[in-house]
Amino acid sequence: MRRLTFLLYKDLLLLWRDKAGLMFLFVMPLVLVLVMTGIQKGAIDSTTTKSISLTILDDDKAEVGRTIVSELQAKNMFDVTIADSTATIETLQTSVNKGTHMIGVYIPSGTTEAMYNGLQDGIAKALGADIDTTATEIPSTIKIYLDPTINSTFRTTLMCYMREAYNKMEKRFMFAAISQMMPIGSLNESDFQTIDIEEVTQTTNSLRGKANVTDHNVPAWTLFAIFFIIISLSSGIIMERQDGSFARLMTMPCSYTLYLLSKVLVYLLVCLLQFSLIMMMGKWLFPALGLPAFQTHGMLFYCFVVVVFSALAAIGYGLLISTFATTNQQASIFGAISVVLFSAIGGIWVPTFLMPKFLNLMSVISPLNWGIEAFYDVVLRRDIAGIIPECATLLIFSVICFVIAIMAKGRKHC
Amino acid sequence: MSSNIIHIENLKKSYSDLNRFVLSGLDLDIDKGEIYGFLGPNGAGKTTTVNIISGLLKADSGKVEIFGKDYIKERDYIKLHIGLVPQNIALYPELTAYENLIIFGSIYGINSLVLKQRISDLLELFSLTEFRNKKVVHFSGGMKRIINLMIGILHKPELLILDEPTVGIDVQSKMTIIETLKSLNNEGVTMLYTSHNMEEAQNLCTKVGFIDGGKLVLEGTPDDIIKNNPECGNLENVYIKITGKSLRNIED
Repeated sequence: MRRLTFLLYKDLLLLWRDKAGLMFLFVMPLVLVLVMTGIQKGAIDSTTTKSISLTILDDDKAEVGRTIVSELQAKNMFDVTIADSTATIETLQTSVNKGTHMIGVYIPSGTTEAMYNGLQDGIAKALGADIDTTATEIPSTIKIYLDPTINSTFRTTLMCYMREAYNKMEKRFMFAAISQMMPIGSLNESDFQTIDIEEVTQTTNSLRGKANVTDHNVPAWTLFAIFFIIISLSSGIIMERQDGSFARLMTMPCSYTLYLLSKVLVYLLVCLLQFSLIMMMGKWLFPALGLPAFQTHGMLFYCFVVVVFSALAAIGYGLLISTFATTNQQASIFGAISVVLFSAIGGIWVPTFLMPKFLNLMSVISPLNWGIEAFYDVVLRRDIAGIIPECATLLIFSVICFVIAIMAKGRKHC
Repeated sequence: MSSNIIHIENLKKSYSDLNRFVLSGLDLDIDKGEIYGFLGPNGAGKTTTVNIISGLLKADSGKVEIFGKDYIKERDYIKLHIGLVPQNIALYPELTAYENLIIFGSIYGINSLVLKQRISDLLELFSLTEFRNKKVVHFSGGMKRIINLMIGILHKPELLILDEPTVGIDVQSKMTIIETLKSLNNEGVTMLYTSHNMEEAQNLCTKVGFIDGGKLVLEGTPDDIIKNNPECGNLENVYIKITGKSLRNIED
């Protein structure tokens, strides 16, 4: 026990004296969580705040035009400007070309009349009247001009809004036309029962609603930081091997297992501190910066359980790298690149369901994916039993790494 | 009962990347109280032998007994009773001299009070007391070598293994180290000493062995070896006569 105490003292002292290493272990993750959460919050906010400038040229000046204008104004996504009376379709196109507006909507003259007439003729024909529907003059189409930088999400959302507005009017016109033609009195939309669509976010415990950016970023970047300890860990081990202090320890009454146990305990402490700091920042600093607070709803203990298993996997992996790398550079480069790759395919940067199928399938080989899924089980799904398979996988991965490292050392040494 | 502290028989060791035997049937006996100079050119097998005795390497075959005990089976006992002063400055440069000494000393399981007293005595002996709380990274080469030696002798080992302990240091530090080694030997400590410095070996060692090609090629007291090679005049010339003048650059 005394030997372990002094090995711990040595490892903690070495870590404490390495100020750059401490910054790397503790400050970098905090900055990463803050920046990534802020960026993602900004991206999400852009769909709910008036961030996209949109101009409408309404030559219809009737119900269709008015409805489209009011529907788009009601959506928080767009900052709507009505083009003045002197505007033409050319000036509308120019304003989008020059970037004055991201989107231009042109509603041609006679759109309302054409829509109404078209519906009336169609209904009359359905009721047996002899009407030539091809004779109805159809005005030019409603046109939407888009800045090339508008991404597909915004395009899809805009088209949904436009179709929603159009369908509302079509329904209203249809009721009006049927009322006019049939001898049954007026039809009211409110007299017809419709089926509602309800959005339900599935969780074991109904305390939580849908996930916010903090719910993903705090655990995700905690895991990234946990796995990035492998650089400090493997570099430290290789340095001890190169300067001979490791060999000296091995000639003393100090087993390799005891040496490793000290490293495991020190870096486990580092990982727990990393999570504690990130969690405190998420809980108390984020709200002050306008970001959603990180909430654990009494599940904090289980968060720490996930951190412990993830840390064991990271320490095992770092040990494995240090066993086979011969220089610090090898360990740092391989360690950093492999962690970035594991995090990318593991769903740290973007959720795995957004990835191509082959990458989505590959995500199961990433220890960071096991970690983030376990965190989702705790923080979002509130499914405590659900963390068992992921924690078991992390533990097995860790044990395999430890066994390989110890066996590789045992082949050469006494 | 044999007075051998180290007994080695037909020791063989090869490295896969060298494709040859570094030790090709080494026989070696070191008696209690000896300062045994283990001398040889680069690649002769000195460091490999030291590493096997220290427990850092496994031999391919052969018998190695230290204090009459098998070097693998009774490693725990052997570790407690040997001290190693490696060729590298095997210290933590970011820790102070005192921190290095207390950490390594505690690994030997020395009682805390005894260890603190021993550290103070050794720092005093080597006139390093005022530097005890300075980081080793700021020490001169000689001071680092002395701390390196101090760690090897903190626990008062029965067998001290010294792998070129005076390489690359000034004359004053070298003299201090040599005097300390003689004093320790007078207290009964057996030493296995490797060096390329023949003059130092001649002055310090009670017995020397020349190793070349992984085998012991000559052994005896420095005086006897010189006496048997009167044309050489000193140990260095005998060494050259035995091992030749060609360059040896392979690390063993």
